[in-house]
Amino acid sequence: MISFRNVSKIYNNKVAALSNINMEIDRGEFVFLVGPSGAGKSTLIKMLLKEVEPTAGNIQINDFDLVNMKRNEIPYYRRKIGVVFQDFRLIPTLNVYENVAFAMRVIEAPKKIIRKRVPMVLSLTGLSSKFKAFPNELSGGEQQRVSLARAIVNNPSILICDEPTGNLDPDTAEGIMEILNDINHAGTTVVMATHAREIVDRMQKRVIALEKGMVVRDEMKGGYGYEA
Amino acid sequence: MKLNTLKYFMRDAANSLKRNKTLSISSATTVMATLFILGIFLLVMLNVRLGILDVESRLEIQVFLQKNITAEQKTALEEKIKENSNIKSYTFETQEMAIKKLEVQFGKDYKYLMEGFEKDNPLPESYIIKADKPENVSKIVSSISPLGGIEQIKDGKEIVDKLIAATNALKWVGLGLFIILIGVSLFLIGNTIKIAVFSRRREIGIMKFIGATDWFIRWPFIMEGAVIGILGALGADILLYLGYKYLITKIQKALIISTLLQPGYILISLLPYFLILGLIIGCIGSIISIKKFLDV
Repeated sequence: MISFRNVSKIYNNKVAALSNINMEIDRGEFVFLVGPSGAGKSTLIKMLLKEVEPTAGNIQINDFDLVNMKRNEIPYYRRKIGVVFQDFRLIPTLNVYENVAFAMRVIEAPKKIIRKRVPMVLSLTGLSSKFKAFPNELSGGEQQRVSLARAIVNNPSILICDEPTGNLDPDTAEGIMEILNDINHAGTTVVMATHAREIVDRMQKRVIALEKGMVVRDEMKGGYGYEA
Repeated sequence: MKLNTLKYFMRDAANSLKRNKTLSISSATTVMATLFILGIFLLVMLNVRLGILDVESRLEIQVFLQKNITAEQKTALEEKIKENSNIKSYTFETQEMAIKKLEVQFGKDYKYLMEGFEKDNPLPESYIIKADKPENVSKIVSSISPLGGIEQIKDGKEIVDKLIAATNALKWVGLGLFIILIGVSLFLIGNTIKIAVFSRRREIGIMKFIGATDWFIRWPFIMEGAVIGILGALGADILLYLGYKYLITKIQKALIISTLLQPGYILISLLPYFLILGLIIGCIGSIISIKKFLDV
């Protein structure tokens, strides 16, 4: 499903952000990506989003060859993955419902389906009562739930999360993790880059640890593994 | 493109235009000025062309005779004119008739210019010939010109040539000005769109992450540019119509020229071209400026 083969990335300043990464993530897995700042987590996430090109190696995700992908194919690839950022990235001029519906409108989904699907996803993320609110009227946790709803509204096979709890207090983060777990149980592969030790330790999922651009640990039911 | 998407694009473009009202209006005004100036040159050119057609349609040839033409030469010339089947009619203008005609043309105020002409008339005698068709004018001229005793043959060609030379010069001036103004228009529309795009760069980034195609992102901005271009074209056309209508009533009162272009032409025939041109300027202006914001 997600396959990295000998993937390296060297930026212009000649520092290797990633060197010789090999990993396989299967359908339906939940994977934490951990490591200190500058270990290469962001670069790896950006590669998954087709935002950064590897300097060497191959990346295969579902049926998509990310290295040899044409520019006009990128949108269609991105429709198959959902993404959640630390800073939510909601559109401030749209309310909750519109923010989620926006993701469907962009891919030109029929209105009928939008009207059915959006309320469903909003109830899944516990936002049914807030659908008319604007992002600035919501708490951080609520905003992140909107962004989660937006990420899954198009039924992606992979959900990529870049520090989704980074701006949230522990209780709120807990709620987000519950939703992520539900999404994963429904069959979606989840890849989550994080610094949240307690979450990783408690969830007991697969952990891939990066350090200086290399995979230093890859274990099933792992823990965070670093002393803070 | 689906109807829903189209509606969304149009609403988006309208909102953006409202948000950047001042800039949108100033860009539309530039487009208007560009097309207005183009229109002025176009109208002058079209009127001159009408004038040329009018001169050509008069089919008149005037053959001036030498002072010392012999009687034989005169009869030979007249014979030649009579037997030419392309000539519809002809009259002979004596020196006296020529003076009278000149007097009428000069009017009372300038009559003093012709003092002394009665005693020593400098004007030549001439035949005024009318051809049956415009294309036969040159045939007639070449059949007559080898004959003796002719001072000069004048047909409309000379005036036409002068008019053409004048309009050619005008054409280049107009074209140059037009190109410069198009450049300014493109720059200003581009700037307006650039600001619209820039103020929404976050949104564009989000759109790209959720799988929007480049064209999906581009369309609202292109529509915005197109609206600016079309509004400018519409304004230019209306302004041109009003200005030309005003001018032409003044001119037609002062001079009796019947061959001027009617103002309705601007509203009916010119408008589609203006709209298309405005649309093209608007679209190109925006496409150029969105380009660099699309790389996410």
